[in-house]
Formats: sequence, structure tokens, C-alpha cells
Amino acid sequence: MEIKSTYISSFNCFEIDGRLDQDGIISMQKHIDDKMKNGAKFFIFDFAKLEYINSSGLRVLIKTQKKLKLFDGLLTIINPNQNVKTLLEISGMTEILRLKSNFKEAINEFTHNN
Amino acid sequence: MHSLLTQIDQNNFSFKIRGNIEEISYLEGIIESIGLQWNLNEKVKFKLNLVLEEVLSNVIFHGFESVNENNYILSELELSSKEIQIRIIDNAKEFNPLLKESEPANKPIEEQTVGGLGIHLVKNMTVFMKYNRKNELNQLTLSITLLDGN
Repeated sequence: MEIKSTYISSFNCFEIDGRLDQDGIISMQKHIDDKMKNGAKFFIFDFAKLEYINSSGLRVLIKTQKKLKLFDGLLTIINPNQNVKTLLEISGMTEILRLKSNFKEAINEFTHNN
Repeated sequence: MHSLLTQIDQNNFSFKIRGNIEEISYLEGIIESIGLQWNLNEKVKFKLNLVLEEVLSNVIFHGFESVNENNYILSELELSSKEIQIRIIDNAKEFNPLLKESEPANKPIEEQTVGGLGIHLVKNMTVFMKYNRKNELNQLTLSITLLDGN
């Protein structure tokens, strides 16, 4: 599993490649904490290459979204494969965070709303 | 084939792990081996992996009170034309995951408990769940459908 971190147009973007296992979850949490400590409020998680995520991984995203909400921040997930998308829907996460098809869509809607 | 996996016959596999969370990492290889033998598609393998991981993690975190070399969790899988039946047998203290409240992600975070989301996912990804306690063993039976749309 690999996490690539980039910064584009006010958004902190994380590209998750592979299976988000226990070590990956710890690594993802650290990436998020480091960015939030520096005042980051807008996150995009690119799940195009994410093959698998469990409930512990989902909980990290839920906690992050709830923290970001306190600072008018935003967490957006883009490009999930069908299995991950179904999991996000079943878990109820699509009701508490944004799910978009691609980066452009995520940025565009944000720009129009702000 | 994965070294922990035993093939009983064409439609039956079993594997045993100890009550140790690090052993959850074996699941990926185990599911790949079973998937190859049974020609499972990605959707079914994903569900099988998630259901097994969430249930086994729950037993390890909530069932076993201490790390002990006698702790074990035996998983038996049986393929039929429409579903995969999974039987999970462990020697942890009595723990019925069906009694644990299902907690979707949109429940307030302060009301969520560890494991509640996992159980919620398992209940939604299976078509059958049954628990019983027999001979001081927990036995949980679950079924995953092979039919599209579920």
C-alpha cells in the first residue's frame, strides 16, 4: 500500500494505492494529523487505486470529516471502484461526506459553492 | 495455495488462526487462494474478505481476554450453487456479535463504539447470520450470496 500526498488549489490530496490494511490506516491517520496540525481544512482522497478498506479505515475518514466540520473544512472522496463505493453507501458515509466521480468535479463544485 | 488453508474437498475449505490481530493479514492470501479455486469474482472476494476480517477482528478484540497460545479461531467455508456458507468457531468467552448494536457511519461519533460499524457492514453483506454457544465454543454461521445484485 502506498499513499501519495499532493497539494492542489487549496486541497490536500491523498492517493491511496493498494489495500488499506492496519499499517496503512496508521499511516493515513498520520498523514491527516500532520496536515491538520498545519491548518489544512480541505482534503480529497483519490480512491481510484484503492482495492480494499475495512471498518477501521472508514472510521478514520468519519472522524476526520467530523473534525473538519468544526472548522468549516471538507473531506471529499473521488474515483472509488464499485466495491468500495458500495461499501461507502452501506456504511452510511455517503450521507456525511462528499463523493465525487473525479478531481475536476470535486474542485468545480467547491469553487461554485464558495 | 496459502499455507494456512486446508482443502477438505472441492467445495470445502478451512483455516485456523490464533487470537492474534497480526494474523488478520493472512486473509488476503487465503481469499486469493479460495477465489482461484472457486473462480470467485472481485465483488464476492471483496465481501468474503470484509466479512471474515470484521468477524475475526471482533472475536480477537472482544472475545479473547488475554493473548494465550491456546486461543484459536477456526473458519470453515462451504460453496454451494447460490452462496458461500461460513462457519466461525472460536474458544473465546461467550460473545454474540448479533447482540451488538449495528452502527452506521451517520450515527453521532460520540455514540459509536469500536466494532459497531464492522457489525453493521457484516449484517448488510450477508444474507444469513446465526450464533450459538456449544461446548464452551462460539459458533457463528453466515452466508454470502453469489447472486448479482446483493
